[in-house]
Amino acid sequence: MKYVILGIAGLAIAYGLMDEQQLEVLNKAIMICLECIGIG
Amino acid sequence: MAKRKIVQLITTLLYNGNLSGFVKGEIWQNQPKSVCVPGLNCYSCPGALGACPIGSFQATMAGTALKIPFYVLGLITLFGILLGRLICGWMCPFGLVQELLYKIPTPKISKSDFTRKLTSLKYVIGIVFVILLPIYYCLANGVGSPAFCKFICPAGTLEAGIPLAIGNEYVRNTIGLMFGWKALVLAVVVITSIVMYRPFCRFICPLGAFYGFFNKISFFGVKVDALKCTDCKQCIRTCKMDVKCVGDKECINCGECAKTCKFGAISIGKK
Repeated sequence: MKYVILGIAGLAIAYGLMDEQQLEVLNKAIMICLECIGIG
Repeated sequence: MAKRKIVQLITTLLYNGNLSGFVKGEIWQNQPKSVCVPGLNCYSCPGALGACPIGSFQATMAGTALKIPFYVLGLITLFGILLGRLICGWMCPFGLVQELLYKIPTPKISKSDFTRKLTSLKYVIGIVFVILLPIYYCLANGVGSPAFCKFICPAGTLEAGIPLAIGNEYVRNTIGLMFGWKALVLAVVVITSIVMYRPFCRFICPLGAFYGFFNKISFFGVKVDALKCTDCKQCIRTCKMDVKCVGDKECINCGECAKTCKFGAISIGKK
C-alpha cells in the first residue's frame, strides 16, 4: 500500500512538473504575498 | 540539548537560510523557492528558501483556475508517506516555537476528552479554508485567495508579517485591519501555547491534519513492538498530544513515549 502511494505521489509530481502553468504560478508566488501576511 | 530540539533548530535554519532577508526586509526570489518544504513555513518569510506546502496548494489552485495542483499535492503526499507526522514533531519551525513557549513555567491545561474531540477542528479548517474558500473566491471573483493564509495562519504573521512590517517600509505603510486580525490570532496561539501543548498543531493546522492520514502507513515513524508491549498505557499517559494509541493520526512521532516505556517496546525508525 505504501509503495502504491509512493508511486502515485511520484506520478503526481512528474505530471505537475509538466504543467507550465502550475510552475509559473509557483514562481510568481515568490513575490511577497500581501494577503498571506495580512497586509492591506 | 535533546536530539530532537537540535534537529528542529537545524531544520528551521535550513528552511529559512536567507538571513540577510530579515535585515533588508526582502524575500528570497530565486530557486529553490518553488520547492515546498515539508513543514509549515511561510514563503513570505524573509528567510524562507522554499515554499509553504499549504500556501503553495492554495496559490496554485487559485492561479490556475482551479486545476488540481498535482505538483504540490504530489510533494506533500510524498512527504506524508515517507514521514507522516514525524515532520510535525521534528521538522516544523512553528511546532518548535510552540514547544519553546510551553517551557515557560505556568500552570498547564492537560489533554482531556474535550481536547480529543477538538482535534477534529483542523480537518474542518483544512476543508473550508484550504479548499472550499479559495474555490469560492475564484468562482466569485475570477481570482482565488489563499484563505487559510489570509485569515488564520499565525506562522505567516510571526515569520513573515511582523519581520516584513519591521524591515520593509512599503509593507509597513500598507498595514491594515487584516494585519490586526492576524496579530490577534497569533497572540491567542502564543498565549495558548504557554499553557497548553502545541494547540495549533492539535486543533488548527491543516498540514498536520493531512499528514496524520499517513501516520500509520508511513515509511518512518514511531513503532511499537507488540511482543514487548504489555498494554500498560504509560505511553498514552506520557504523551501530551491527544493520541488514542502510539502512532495514530494525532501522534507527532516525537518519541517522548519511547523514553518512558519500561519495556522498551517503542522506537523511532523505519517501520
